[in-house]
Amino acid sequence: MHESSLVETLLRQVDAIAAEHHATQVTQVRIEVGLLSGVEPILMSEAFERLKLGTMCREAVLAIEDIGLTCRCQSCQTNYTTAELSFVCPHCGSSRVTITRGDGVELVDVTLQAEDILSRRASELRS
Amino acid sequence: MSEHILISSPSTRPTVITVRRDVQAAVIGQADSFRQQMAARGTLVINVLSSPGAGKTSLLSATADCMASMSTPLRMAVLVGDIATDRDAQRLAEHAPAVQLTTGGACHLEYPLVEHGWNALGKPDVEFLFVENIGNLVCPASYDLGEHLRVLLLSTTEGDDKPAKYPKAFRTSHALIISKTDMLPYVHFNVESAIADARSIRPDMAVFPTSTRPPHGLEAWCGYLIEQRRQLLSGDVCRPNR
Repeated sequence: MHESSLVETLLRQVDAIAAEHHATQVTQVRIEVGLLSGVEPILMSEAFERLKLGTMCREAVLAIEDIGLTCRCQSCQTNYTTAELSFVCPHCGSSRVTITRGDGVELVDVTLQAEDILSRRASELRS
Repeated sequence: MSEHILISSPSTRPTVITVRRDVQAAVIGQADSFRQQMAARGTLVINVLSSPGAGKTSLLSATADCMASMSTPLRMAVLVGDIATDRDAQRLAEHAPAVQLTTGGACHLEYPLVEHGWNALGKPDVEFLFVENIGNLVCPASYDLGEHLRVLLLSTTEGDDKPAKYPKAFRTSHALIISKTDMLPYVHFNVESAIADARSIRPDMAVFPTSTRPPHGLEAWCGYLIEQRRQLLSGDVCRPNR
């Protein structure tokens, strides 16, 4: 249910990045969604399509990568990535595991159409 | 060359800007700063999660009474979140200073509401600040409210299978309160199995079976809070961990 609120936060950040780089439009926004992010990718996409209108992302594609869950076992010191919500180390069976990645939503990168800096300098010189 | 620039028309090129940042990084930073401020003034902040009707307001009312009756009375205040109405704040006001946070439909509290509520309370001198979240075991689990401690209530009337169904809420909580133990004779709820399930998700989960009518288990719960505050004062600022 909170995907809309997360997408609003995301769009504000992307708009700020686009403005900072003098972008004319954003073509792609890439995010990583962890297994324990509490976010449903389908609902995230739906919210993005609905909320992007009126922002720099109005023509943009939201690319979502599901990154599962990465944990570190404190007993046998193994790092492992899993697609299942289990907090038991697959190597030694210990439940002393720490989540190192996959409990949030990360903005990876933004692809934008930026005004060529030389062209912008030229426009500035003209005006 | 400069002439060439002057006559060229503005053009655009695709650029990839690498960010690599949690979408909630900015608000997590604000919540973190609140956590530090509250630690410095000796107030332990507790985020209370549960399904609707698990007994959060009753537990907090009983907790306030229990804290106030100690040989050295301890003070607490409550920020209580609901989608609508200020009924819970009215109920709590008989026991502790309380401010209602209404979300107007949102399914969870976010940090800016906590800051607003803390200011509305007048930043009282209290040992404990409770934030009673919206009744929901899904969305609230994803939001850092600047708390030192996250506590989850599971009532015996909900069934003992909730930990496996709501792993994030259980994984991010430090303590589990099994509420309404007075109902145990009438419902199918296996306390041992609920605890085992919760600890398979979070092995170090502290567990407190409680009832408010009649009061039961509240001393152990309040003792735990006092110990957590003692650790906070000694510089151990715990946070919703992974």
